[in-house]
Amino acid sequence: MTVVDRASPFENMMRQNIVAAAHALYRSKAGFATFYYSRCNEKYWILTGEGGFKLRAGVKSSEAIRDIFVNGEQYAFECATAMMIVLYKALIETISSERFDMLYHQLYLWDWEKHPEFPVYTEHITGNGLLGDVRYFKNPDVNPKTPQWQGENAVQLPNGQYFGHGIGILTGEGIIEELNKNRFPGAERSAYLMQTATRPDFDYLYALSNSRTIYYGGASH
Amino acid sequence: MTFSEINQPNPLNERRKEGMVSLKKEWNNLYSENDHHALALINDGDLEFPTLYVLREDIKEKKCQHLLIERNQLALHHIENILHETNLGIAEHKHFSDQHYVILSSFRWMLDTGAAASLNNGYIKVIDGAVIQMLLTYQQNIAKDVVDLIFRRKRSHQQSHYLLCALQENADPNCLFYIANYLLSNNQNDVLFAAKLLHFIPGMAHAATKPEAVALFEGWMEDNHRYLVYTGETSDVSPMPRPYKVNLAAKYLGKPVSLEDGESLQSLSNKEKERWQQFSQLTDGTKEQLASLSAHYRQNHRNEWYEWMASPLEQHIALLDKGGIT
Repeated sequence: MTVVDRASPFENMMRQNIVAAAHALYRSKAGFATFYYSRCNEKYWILTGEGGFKLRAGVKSSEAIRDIFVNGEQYAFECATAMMIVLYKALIETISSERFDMLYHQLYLWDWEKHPEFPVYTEHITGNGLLGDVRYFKNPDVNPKTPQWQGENAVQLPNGQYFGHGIGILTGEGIIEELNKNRFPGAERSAYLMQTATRPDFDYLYALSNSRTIYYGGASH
Repeated sequence: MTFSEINQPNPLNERRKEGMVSLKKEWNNLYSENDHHALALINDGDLEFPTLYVLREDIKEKKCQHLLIERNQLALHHIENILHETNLGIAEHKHFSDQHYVILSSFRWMLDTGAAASLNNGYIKVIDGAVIQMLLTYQQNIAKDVVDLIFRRKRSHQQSHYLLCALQENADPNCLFYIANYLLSNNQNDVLFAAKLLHFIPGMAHAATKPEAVALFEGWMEDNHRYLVYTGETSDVSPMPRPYKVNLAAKYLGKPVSLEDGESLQSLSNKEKERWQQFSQLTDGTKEQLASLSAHYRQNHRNEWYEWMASPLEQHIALLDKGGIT
């Protein structure tokens, strides 16, 4: 299936796998938690003071990522963390576990930060975005007592649907409706879908996956 | 009279330094011996918020919250609201204005005496809750405190995501000055983090030295401060958010804009409206060059600039091709 015309086969494959990984994370029973209350399977990850997950030494990175999808009930995390988990899972499926393990010896899952060898960038877009894009639903009048409802990162899926961790798979209108329930009294502005898309640097990942690099120790904490 | 007025520290604050268990034991002993004295220590003006936080369950157990001063009662309500999702507020009837200042003064006390502590994740969440409400609900000018807190948390690898997002959502470009102060920090991680937060300033990523980074920042702010528009991008939206963009049409015309919607704060004449529209149709590159050229000319030769602005836009664009105004 071609997801995006004129995109490379690698990008198309990645985008398909991002969509599949979003569905898989939805089914995984992994919970939502603010960074204050993140949880993880400590067999694979070390929970840090800022609510991030640091890969344990000696653990295969692909196994640790897959564990989130298998033992989801042991995990709870924020929506931006969920997006990076989805992207890493998609890369594993695209380049194989073996290759992923060779490239990524250290991982740190927190928010959008600290992924030096998995660059993602945000583009301003016109129109509808692409399957596998990470979109952002912003809630400008969020009640300050629940800052976790300030917005929702969500993977764009087919048929006008989006996967947002903690919200589930809903249409754009459905996500906006959920966010609007968490505005301050008297709020007048609705949540809305921003005209931005956060995407992996597909060319970089393609080059990395075909490089002779056999060790990566970049993600630091 | 507070302890500081007699040049003595509050003994409960001192005891907290020996650990939470020690503090709780000490206060419970004091309460058994003399409950008035134990409560007076809690109500002391020099009490620090972390001390109250540690003793909150003991106070609750003794059902003596009503004997606490308003600052403490509100702080305890705030803790309950944040940790147990209650909806507590001011118990007494008060004028709206007094409610406002009483709440703020309690939040301010939490921030001033408690931001440096990090007892546990729940405590950090309580501090964040106070800061976020001060910023976004009460619109307090606490940007410097928040920036300092974020950098302190970063150094100790503690959670600062929601603080940073609230700071960005507060949409006050003055906070950029406080961030830029860290470009000169002796701590290299501070410098890198400050540069990252200011990455949307052209050239920042390639600044070779700290003074060069500061000079870039200062130049950019000086040129663009009046024309900045909040984009809604926070660190929740993007790995490299660009919270502000420059309204180039406004910069070209020299009209300061609303941070919220980018509209001119001044009424525009029909000619200016028309020029604004024409300018908006240009390519991004041309807009940038022309806005800079116009701003530079305006700053240096205001009278000539007025005359220049009366000439057609096409002439301005042609001037760019010739290398600008000589």
